[in-house]
Amino acid sequence: MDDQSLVKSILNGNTQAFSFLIRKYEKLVFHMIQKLVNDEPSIEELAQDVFMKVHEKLPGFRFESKLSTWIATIAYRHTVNHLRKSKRMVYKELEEASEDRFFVSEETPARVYEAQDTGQYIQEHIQKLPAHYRNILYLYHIEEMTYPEIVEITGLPIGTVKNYLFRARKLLKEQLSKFVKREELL
Amino acid sequence: MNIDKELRDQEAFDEAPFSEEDKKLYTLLMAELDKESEIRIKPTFSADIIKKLEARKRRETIWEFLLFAAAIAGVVILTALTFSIFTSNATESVDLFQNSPVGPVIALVVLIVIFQVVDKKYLKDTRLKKRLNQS
Repeated sequence: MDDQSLVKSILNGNTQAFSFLIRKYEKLVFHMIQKLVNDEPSIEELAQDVFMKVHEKLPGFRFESKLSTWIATIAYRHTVNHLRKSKRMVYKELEEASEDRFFVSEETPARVYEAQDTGQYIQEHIQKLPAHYRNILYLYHIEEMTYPEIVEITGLPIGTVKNYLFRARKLLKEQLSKFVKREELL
Repeated sequence: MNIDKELRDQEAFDEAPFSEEDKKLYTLLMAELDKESEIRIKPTFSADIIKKLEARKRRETIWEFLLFAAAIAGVVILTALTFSIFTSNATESVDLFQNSPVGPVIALVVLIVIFQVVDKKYLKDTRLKKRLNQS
């Protein structure tokens, strides 16, 4: 079922259609929230709130963007508002954070040796990146969204989106270099 | 994903020509970034939301019914009030407009305005909006 028919069916009161929409976009919403929040019970609660909001706002959705972009925007803004209310996210601190800080804490040669494979090693390091970096990496690489779509979701300027994406990849590549060199030594 | 384009863009950002090693590392990294990480979602997740929505709909129906009942009661009370103002005025004086015409007229106008505001704010607009959004 395409998104237009799906939305029409939901607006006609079909709860099965809304259930289908949830299943179709739940991964996107969970990933979006997970990139910003680490606490697992909160992720599910926030995801529920997001879909409640989606249902509430759906009559106003005019297909000016893709349904996935619109849902991701709601998920992003709802989570950021939640974090702001609980004072767990300070943008200024994030923007001013030094890149050197991201991987310093536990990065020891022993740690590099502990990693099982490249995938696991990269995932561990993605988790250490700031929330915005993680989110943009996810939207760009997994959801294959364009820059304008990411701008719409995050509300960040296009230059900042590109900057975060390239900086994140550069930082990860430097870490990956350590891992690859370890493999060569073994 | 067009890996060559991504490498060119990244090279422009890094502001240094890529060595063969850089190219290999970035290619490996981008392949890993394109892999989705595992995420746990309860199988009953969508059913839980549907239950919540149905409960909310029930609450809204009750609330709408109460508002509608209050509006009807308001109309009855306002009609009775208007009627009592006119009848009391009529019993006190034979000529309604000669003795004290301003008081009852203002009272009537105020009552009508209050009713219109309540009707627009709580009934017409909300129902109309819902219908417009659904069409």
